[in-house]
Amino acid sequence: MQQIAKIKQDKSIRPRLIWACLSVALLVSAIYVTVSYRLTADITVRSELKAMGHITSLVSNELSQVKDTDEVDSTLNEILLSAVNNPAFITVTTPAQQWHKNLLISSAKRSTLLQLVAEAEDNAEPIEVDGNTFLWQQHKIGQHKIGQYQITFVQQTQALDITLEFVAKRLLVTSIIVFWIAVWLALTLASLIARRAEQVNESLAYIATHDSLTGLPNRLYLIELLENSLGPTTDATNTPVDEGCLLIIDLDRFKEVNDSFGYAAGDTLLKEIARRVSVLIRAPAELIRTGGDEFFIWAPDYTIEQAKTLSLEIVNSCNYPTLINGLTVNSGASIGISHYPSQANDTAGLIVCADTAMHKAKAMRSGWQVYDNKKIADYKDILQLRAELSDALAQQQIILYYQPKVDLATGEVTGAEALCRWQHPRLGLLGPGEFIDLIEHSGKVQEFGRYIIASAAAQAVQWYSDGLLVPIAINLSPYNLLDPGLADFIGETLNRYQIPPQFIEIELTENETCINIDYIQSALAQIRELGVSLAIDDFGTGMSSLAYLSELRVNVLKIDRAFICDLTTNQGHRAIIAAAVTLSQSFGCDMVAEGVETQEQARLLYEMGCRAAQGFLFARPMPAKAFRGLLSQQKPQFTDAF
Amino acid sequence: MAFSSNLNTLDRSIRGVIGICVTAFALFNGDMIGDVFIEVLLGIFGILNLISLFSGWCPVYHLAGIDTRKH
Repeated sequence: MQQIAKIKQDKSIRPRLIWACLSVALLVSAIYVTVSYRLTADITVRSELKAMGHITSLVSNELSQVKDTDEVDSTLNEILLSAVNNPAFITVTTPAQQWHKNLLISSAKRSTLLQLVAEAEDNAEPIEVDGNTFLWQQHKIGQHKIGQYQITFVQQTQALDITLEFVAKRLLVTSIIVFWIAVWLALTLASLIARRAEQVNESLAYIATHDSLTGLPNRLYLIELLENSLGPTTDATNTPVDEGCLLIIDLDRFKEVNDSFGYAAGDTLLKEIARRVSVLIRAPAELIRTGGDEFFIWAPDYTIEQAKTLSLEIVNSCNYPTLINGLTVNSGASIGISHYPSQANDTAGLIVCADTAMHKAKAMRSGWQVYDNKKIADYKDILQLRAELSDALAQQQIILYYQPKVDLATGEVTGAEALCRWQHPRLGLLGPGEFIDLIEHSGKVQEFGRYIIASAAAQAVQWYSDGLLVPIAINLSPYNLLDPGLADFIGETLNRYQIPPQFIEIELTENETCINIDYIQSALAQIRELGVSLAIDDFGTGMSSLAYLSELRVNVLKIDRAFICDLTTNQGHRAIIAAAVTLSQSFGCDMVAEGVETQEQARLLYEMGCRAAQGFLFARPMPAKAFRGLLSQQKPQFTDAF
Repeated sequence: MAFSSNLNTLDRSIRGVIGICVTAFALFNGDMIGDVFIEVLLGIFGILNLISLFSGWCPVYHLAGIDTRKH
């Protein structure tokens, strides 16, 4: 998760560059000094050799004048004393005789030097003896008056001392200046390159952590930000907060805008929304776009109340129409809020909670919603339950409970509504409220629908074969009806179990029935053709419209418990029920009242013309075995209910 | 901004000492070096360091974007 930090922390480039440049500068200076030293030394040696060449020639000339071999010694002495200042010697060798003349040099040293000269290839390299350096010249003369002879002139040299003197005086100063210039060059280059590298790193980090369309930070940045804000202090970049709120903003009608006006318009809308929301939030709160039409706000030190206020402002701002292509578009937004640390104390948890709340807000059209952690204590449970769903279906942990539908006139049980329960191995019996949402968002909704139908059919055939003629109503959500093979599956199931179709009833929960009404309608038509009766569940709430009612041609209307619970006191609800009764009569369908709890309610419903009801007044949902016991009782089962 | 100081006290004083030594050497011990060109070079370096001492500003630091002064 430290990817951005990785990019930013690459600071080693600067010192490394400086070291590299300094090393190069040092190397260049060393090479410069060495070459200069050698050059100077070479030149000095050559000029000295040249001077010695002159002396050797002089000796040669003088010797050519000599008439007698006895004069050789004095001539050599004369030349040596007049022309040479350093320790030196001259040796003249003829086949018959050898003359030596020393100046400030011992005879032993002379023999050593002569030996070395005889072994040397040429005279370019000085000879080292006892820490002193010597140069030599040799001259061979052909036949002469004193015979054939060879002159060897060896002289101690000061060439290297002279060179060192030069180096000390000028070269050293010059090379210091050169080194100085090189150091500055190194520093400048290193800094320039390092600065450039830092700029590149920064822009890379920016690109990696920001959205190109709105210029807002992206998901990577969000994760980094949350990790730094929530985690314990591990290093200087961490700034833990005591509390904070995470808001997820999702535009309600973004897809429609994209589909109707094109992506360019969608982009314009996103930019406009990003701009408006940015204006509303104040640092240190940050707006982040994670993709599509989803924005996050991480608001450190915000209480839930402050987050609610902010959400309200954002919702209002998003509801304000945007002008796109000359048309005003109202995108609307749903916001989910989660609070740290009361609802989740890590990044993943916080996001899941806010996401859950956002979906709830969307479903409820409530604008914003705070995560309700009472629903299921911990988001981890949600994740775990989601993972356990497959097992639940495979191991038949989802079981059906049955609640009787009672004829209000006779008190007889006329049907059963199958309600699912999850016999969870760890958490015990879970009601549908705790897992239906998970199923609907898990991609297993169609498999689940088939599972329920098969279970209910198995139960129905058991009762049917025992002579208990009770139809079983199954709740299906519109998501199940999107299953293209559903009608065929129901037909096959009925065939397999050999049950008459009227013993199965499909109750359509309609809280989200707006999805693909045409498709659902054709699916329902196929099911109806099988002879299975259809019911609308929770009629009167949610998305039900009267047109929908007429098009679906259902057999049963189940009026929602919301109208029943305060039936005795609420005049309005009583009027709605009366109208629903009339409506059902006009459509020729039956009506069932849900959630009847008191005798008073049952009596009133009966008086209004409702013939069937279910609720706690009669019985709570019960396992199949208990229900069978109820059916086996003498009819009518509920004589004293009203 | 162009000529604002970019040297901290230590940096500035080291440069000052070097500047004074080098300039003095170039001026009063020029004979030891034995070359006018080198003498002039030393003089220039000494004077550049003296400029840094007085103004607290280094042109090379400026170009390289280095700033040793604590703001």
